[in-house]
Amino acid sequence: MLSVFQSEQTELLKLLYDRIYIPASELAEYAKHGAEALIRELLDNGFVVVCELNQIEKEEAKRISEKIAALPLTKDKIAQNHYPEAEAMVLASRAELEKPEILLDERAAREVAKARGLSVIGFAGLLIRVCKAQQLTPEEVREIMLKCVSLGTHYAQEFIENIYRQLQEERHEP
Amino acid sequence: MNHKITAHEPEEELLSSAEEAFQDAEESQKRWELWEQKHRLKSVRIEVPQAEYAVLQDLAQQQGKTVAQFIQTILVGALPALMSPSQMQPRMQ
Repeated sequence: MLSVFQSEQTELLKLLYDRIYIPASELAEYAKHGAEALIRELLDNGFVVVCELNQIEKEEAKRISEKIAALPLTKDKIAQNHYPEAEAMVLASRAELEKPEILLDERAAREVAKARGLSVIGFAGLLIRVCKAQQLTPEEVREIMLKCVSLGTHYAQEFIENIYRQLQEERHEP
Repeated sequence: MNHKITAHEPEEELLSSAEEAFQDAEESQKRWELWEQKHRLKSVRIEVPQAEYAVLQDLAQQQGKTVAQFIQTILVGALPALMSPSQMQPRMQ
């Protein structure tokens, strides 16, 4: 979600999703990154809903955060720093949410989420979906990702260019 | 917007495979299509003027719905006023 906020694309989420559920611990994470006002706005209009985890779920989230921290894909070995993503995974496993998608860009967290059978999508995947639905052009996808990079998100240049090229090629296919 | 949103932590390795990003998008699209089939739904994209959107947002919020859910309720609810049940029935099979 940070990339969504950085690139000012919250409307894009509304094209794809009816509602976004976040665990309570994510609120502090957004505040840490300066997105408190934006998330508050989405909470106020009902698009984002905060869910509290029960004690058993919190314990499960703690185990998941330890698993993420132990992976070689992350240099951050402090499990607590992965706790918000872990809580999101536990939340996404709730039966009443009918197998939602979980939005994750961090490779270690993605790997753990996939191993748990969750449906994962990254920010680039969202942009590609919207582009294929002709709601964004390949140029706009590139521009949005570059904006995130300019604000410090470390998407690789090659990653962005590969996505842009492939979207362009698909656009010109008969 | 005048918000300064800081980035993901630099020690976090982010998705960097375009192939995986396209796979994310493709699987997401398939999940969406299956969900529509399961719930017998069909997506419709509509544009509404911004001013009216704000009103719809307020009304939807009062009912604990999203704008899309609220518009869906209005449109489906309005059908009997536009067409009699006997006329609608053959089209709803």
